[in-house]
Amino acid sequence: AGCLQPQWTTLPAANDTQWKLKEIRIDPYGFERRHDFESYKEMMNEYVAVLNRRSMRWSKLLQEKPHVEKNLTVKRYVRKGVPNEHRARIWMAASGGQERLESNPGYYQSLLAMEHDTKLKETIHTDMHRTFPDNVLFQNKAEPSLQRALYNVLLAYGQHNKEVGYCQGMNFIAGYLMIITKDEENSFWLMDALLGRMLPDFYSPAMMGLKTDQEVLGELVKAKAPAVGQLMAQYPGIWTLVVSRWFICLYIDILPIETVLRVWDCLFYEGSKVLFRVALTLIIHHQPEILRARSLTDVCECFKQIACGAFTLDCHTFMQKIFTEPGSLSMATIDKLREKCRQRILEEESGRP
Amino acid sequence: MAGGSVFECKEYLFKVLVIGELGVGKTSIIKRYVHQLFSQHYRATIGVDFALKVINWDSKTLVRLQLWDIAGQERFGNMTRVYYKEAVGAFVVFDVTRGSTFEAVSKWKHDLDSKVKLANGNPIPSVLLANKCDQKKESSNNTALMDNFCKETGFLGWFETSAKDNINVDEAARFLVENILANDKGLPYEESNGDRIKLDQETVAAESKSGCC
Repeated sequence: AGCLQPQWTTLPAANDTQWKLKEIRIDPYGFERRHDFESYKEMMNEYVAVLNRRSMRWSKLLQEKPHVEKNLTVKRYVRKGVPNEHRARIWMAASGGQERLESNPGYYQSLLAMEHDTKLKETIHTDMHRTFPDNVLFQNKAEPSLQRALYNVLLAYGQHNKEVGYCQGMNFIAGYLMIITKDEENSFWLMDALLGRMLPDFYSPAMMGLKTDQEVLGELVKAKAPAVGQLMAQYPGIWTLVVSRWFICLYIDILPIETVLRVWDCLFYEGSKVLFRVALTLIIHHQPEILRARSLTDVCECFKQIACGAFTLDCHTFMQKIFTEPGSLSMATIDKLREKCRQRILEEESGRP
Repeated sequence: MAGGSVFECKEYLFKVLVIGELGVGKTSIIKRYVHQLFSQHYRATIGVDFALKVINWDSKTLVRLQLWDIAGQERFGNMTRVYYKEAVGAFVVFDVTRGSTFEAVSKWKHDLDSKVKLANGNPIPSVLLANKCDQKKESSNNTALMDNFCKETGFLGWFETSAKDNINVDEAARFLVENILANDKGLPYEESNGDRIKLDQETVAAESKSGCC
């Protein structure tokens, strides 16, 4: 229960009549929750008190200081969660997206007006009906449908950043940005902030940043949970198998949506380090379960399970845990590990036939 | 597999890759085969995933099929090459409604053969799946053409499949497994006391000894 893991869960065949008869239960973001509506509602009933309190505090803060600064108070506020009504604004301000938007008026529209690569269009098109088919806002019959907006944002981004073009996973990220900002241009500039400045090179054809960060996580686990590190060392390539989706999708479909949005609050304000904090917390917190794994299959299954359930659904407590449970994690350490892992990967790749 | 038959029962673990362009229905085929389900609601596969199917092949043979669902986008190919290792069979899938996905089949086959080989140096057995045949527009008869294409490209054979309408998925899998068994290059092991977990671990440990490609 409480698990939003569609990858290998069993969905009943969606035959139309069955569909209409079924009571459809939808969350505030448009997602149908046929399996976990009760646990979600239960969590939200408690979380609403936190949301109300944060909402009041934020309104007051923004009234006093409409310009979002980077300081300890705002950082603390962000870690405790940005209320939904302010999310688009805070993300835009913190990431530098707002600044770019203002200094490049009309740029987004001009990207859309250009001639586009056929392959790019085709690839994006192929993923349209496979991006949140369980979200009512993205169904092509929806009025207005976010599918068109999603297509535009991805096409414009592919045109803007030709080296990256379109990489699967970006569809989910742009989709979440559209759900939150409800605005194509804002979503585009947030994509630009994430892919162009905040995240390592996750999405370009070589995916060097992704390969590196997977190895970095492996190194961090070796240091912070040596037993797990030892277990994982038995299976070459396992980090790609279990965590590439975590990083590429920025935890979309891995963690529950409320939790993902809270992680993104910190991501936009503090940078990509938070992605390691989340991964480390999941792993360290579930060490006993992981260590029971006796095969590659077990390990993979376990890594799917540890992102589900009450621990990650309770986003407020989870977000406190990510800043305590993994212990200290300095940017210097990460930079050093990134360099070391990068070198190792380059050596391995150059030795390959 | 109770009682005296235990010692006669052979158990195989076969790693099978499912590859092809994005959106051709790789995930749908696997879910149809493993869970007997179909949904229009599958999301795009990111990276790689796998599923297990246990087949009681005959009274003396148990086959565990590990199906590796590899993301179709080219850039993931470089990252997922380590998963090709030790594979003993493959499905290459294309979408009959999109010609470009068929044009890419040779590329996928070539990529497969360059990344993994049987112990004797031969290419691993592979079967071509012409998926979404329920949506095929014209009923043109191109059997001879396809047979010829398979012969030239090195596929054992091809099947028109529909994960949606459950057409030929089991048949294609049976055909591939027959060929894998005939090759007998999988690592057979006697099942002792049903201690599969331990055996699984040994198999994986054996894999890891051969180093990274």
